[in-house]
Amino acid sequence: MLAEIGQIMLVLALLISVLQGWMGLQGAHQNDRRAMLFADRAAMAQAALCVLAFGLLAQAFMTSDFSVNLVHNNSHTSKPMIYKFSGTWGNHEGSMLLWIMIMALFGAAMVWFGKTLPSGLRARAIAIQGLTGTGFLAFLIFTSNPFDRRWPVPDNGVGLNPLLQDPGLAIHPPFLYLGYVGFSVAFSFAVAALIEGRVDAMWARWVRPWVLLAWSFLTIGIVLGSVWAYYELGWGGWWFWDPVENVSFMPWLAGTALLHSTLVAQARGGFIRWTLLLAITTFSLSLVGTFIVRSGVLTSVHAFAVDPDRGVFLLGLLILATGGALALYAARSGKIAHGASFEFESREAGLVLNNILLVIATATVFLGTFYPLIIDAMTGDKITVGPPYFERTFAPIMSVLIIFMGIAPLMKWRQDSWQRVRRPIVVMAAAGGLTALATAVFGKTVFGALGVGLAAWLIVACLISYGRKLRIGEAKSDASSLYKRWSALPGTTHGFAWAHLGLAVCTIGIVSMAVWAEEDVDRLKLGQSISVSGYEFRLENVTQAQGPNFVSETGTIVIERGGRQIGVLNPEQRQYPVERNNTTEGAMEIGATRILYAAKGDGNPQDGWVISVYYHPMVIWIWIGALMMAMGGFVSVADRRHALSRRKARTPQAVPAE
Amino acid sequence: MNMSRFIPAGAFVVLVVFLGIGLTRDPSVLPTEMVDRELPNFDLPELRDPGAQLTRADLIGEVTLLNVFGSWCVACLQEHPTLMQLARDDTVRIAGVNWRDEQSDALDWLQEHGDPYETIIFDSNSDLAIELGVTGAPETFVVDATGRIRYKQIGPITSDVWRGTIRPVLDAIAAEAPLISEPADTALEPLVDATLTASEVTDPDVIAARTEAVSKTLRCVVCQNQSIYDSNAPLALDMKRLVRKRVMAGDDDDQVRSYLQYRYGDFVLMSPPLQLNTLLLWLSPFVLVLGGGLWFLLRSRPDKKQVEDALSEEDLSRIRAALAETDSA
Repeated sequence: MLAEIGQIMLVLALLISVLQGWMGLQGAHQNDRRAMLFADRAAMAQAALCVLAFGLLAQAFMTSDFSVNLVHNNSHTSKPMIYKFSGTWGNHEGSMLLWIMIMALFGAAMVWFGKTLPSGLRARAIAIQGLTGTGFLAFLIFTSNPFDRRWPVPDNGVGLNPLLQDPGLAIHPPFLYLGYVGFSVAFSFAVAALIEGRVDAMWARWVRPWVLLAWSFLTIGIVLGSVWAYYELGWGGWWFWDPVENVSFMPWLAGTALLHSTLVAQARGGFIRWTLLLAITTFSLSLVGTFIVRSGVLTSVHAFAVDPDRGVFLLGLLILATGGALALYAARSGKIAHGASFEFESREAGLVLNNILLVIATATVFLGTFYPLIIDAMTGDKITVGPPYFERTFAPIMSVLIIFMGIAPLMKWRQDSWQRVRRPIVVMAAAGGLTALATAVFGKTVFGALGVGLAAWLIVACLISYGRKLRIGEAKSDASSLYKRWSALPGTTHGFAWAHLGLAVCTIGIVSMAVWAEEDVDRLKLGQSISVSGYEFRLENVTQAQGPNFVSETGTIVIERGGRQIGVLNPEQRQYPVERNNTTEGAMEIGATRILYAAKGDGNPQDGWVISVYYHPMVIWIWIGALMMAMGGFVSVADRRHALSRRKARTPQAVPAE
Repeated sequence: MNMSRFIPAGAFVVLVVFLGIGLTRDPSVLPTEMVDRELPNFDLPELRDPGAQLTRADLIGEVTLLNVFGSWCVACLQEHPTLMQLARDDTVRIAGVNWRDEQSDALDWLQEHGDPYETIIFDSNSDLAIELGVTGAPETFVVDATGRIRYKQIGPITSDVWRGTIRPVLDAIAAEAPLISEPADTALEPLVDATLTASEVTDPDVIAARTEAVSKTLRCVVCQNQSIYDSNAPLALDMKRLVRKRVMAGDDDDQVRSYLQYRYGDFVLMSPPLQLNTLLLWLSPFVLVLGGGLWFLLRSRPDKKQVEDALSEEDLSRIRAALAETDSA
């Protein structure tokens, strides 16, 4: 009965979303307050219905109601409760419902936080959000119904892929979707602005916090995915340039560009059209990602089960949403004042370069990801575009970006002069150069020297620009006046420091992993050992144990360095009898500057066990750096200049020059 | 009129066309590289008589269906009735490649389901399978009397496939003038072991390091975006073994890669080779960076005069008023 109620709620949500779109657009067109109010209420109702439907599906999973086909196919009574719950979105249908629920919640949040907006723009944006929801609800109901029943009711379920029975992966999709779907708000506002044919600085101020929020969530989502792949897949890698990873990375890159272009739009009223286009592109890349993951056009480790009908439906949705938005852009953007002129020596110029480079980086990842498909469609040739391609193209582009990231924040808006920034640049270059030199001498690597040098350049640059914002050395620099100035700084400035430092930290991790990581694999009998990078891993013992829904074989590996014991690792191999599947649970000894990692493979006492060991320098910095970036995003959201307030703003305040 | 606002929509249309075509393709099906090449050399035991060694010569002289199968292969059961029927009717000689199997399992399987094969090559370590560019079972090669591979069937030979695809190929071969064998357009690759005497690498550390390095640049053909180094798939393990063997035989890294590229196509290379069909891929980033840099330099010329001209008298008076207001505040 509950499943049928869930079903009905989805259908109601679909109908209401249509009304939300219709009334919002009509109401804005005719300036009909009641119609616009209706659209507001509809957005709230749609969100409530989606939450309830999701709750009912989760309920079915948690109570193991195998009369629901989806639960049968993806759950099992022996699974721990947390994975029964997270299993709700560990499959195509449930994850789509999660996506839709988050989208509807963002729609409701637009109503809730959007009181200060011009009513027309607001109603149109809410309408577009509703109509995007309509598309996905129709997709869910007509091609991927999560509430389908099965008869007769089976005694037990098929189980959830053991790889997905993991806390990291339980929370990875919700964060990822908060990011993906969060960009729908910017999309809706861009389309609404195009319909209106008019954009002002208020628009950018209103959109920016949503972009920041989505971007920060997406960052966390990607980090979780990376961490999970690192310890769960047992290959010891943190990024594989797999198509599915790439499609989550592309909205992130485009979203990063969008973050920075809204800065120009907000502060200087410039690059408005470009910003609109980026907002459309960013969410469209999320949609393309959904299409890729769920249609099977590219092979990937992470793809959902493939169904061509779903692919066709999703392609249709993409055509309607993105095609519609871009057609509107072609028709209406001419009306929108652009203001794309900038001085060579100015912060705008730096942000323009940021956008150019990030868009090229996005395009490169896009091309690398889709090239096999393009070439197959044109000539039938099958080729592989693997990590080497991305390392050779993406990495240099990002290096150039880091160079400009150091300079641009030092510049003033409108017009600045090299004269004024020459000294800090000399300091940054000296820091970067010396670090690079030291790395080259001690680490014996040119590539590593370049990378670490760039990171040092960026760190010093961030500290200098942050210090300048605090006016250290210019004004009174005792603790209390510094604190006063520190707390008076706008959120965006703090966010900038966090995020840019985060990237520097991340870069150090990435470069170290690329240059100094070591690994080895061997078949070890008890008492034998294998060593990498001066660490000796000795296999002491192997034991069997019974887990809640798996059988495991665990090795005991002692790590020693120079005769001193560093730690004991217990890598595990699990066998899930229900799912007839194995997982490798690598074991790690985590230090601030390195992770020692061991994974256990098959074996027996006579021949020994296959043991892989890894020395991974600075790998944790990659994720810490990325989390610092996300943190920076969240801090920026709170910037008081953002119009993210329920209270009616008094007259818009002038933007203080920084 | 400024046409640049149509560019995004135009680019999107192109993308949709490709995504649409992509929907009709199966990305896991690889093209066949071995058609119109000579059947490779091999030296492997007969499954049912391990004392007897089979070589390429045993298959030449008569048109043959060379069928790759294994007792573990579910889809093989689907084609088995067709093969049995062909054997009963004595339509064409059928030879088997028993791939990655245990001998006893294979014999039991043949016992249970029937044995349509005249000879069966026992290929437990993928030696012949890799030579043939096999990615899965069943796969069937049509080999003509001169030892040239004429067709490759991926997937089971159902009766429809037999009638619609294989039979016509056999008829076409039969219709050719006998004894006029076409000259081979590709040189026969020597046996793997034949080169072992060339310049052997013996340092185990060097072998291990180079095997690792090369394996990381080769894609596992039965996995999804994993290198054969990262993969534990049986075929990937066998390929790793092959890489090791080639390294020991004295091949340089590129030679090892092209050895597999010859059999499996560009698909096995993690880094796409720079050639006509990848020009766009490799050049685009550099062209984009150049274009972006040029655009930036052109657009950022100090251009104050024009900006001021663009302001109307009305705008200017409003600006002055606003400035006066701020000053007095």
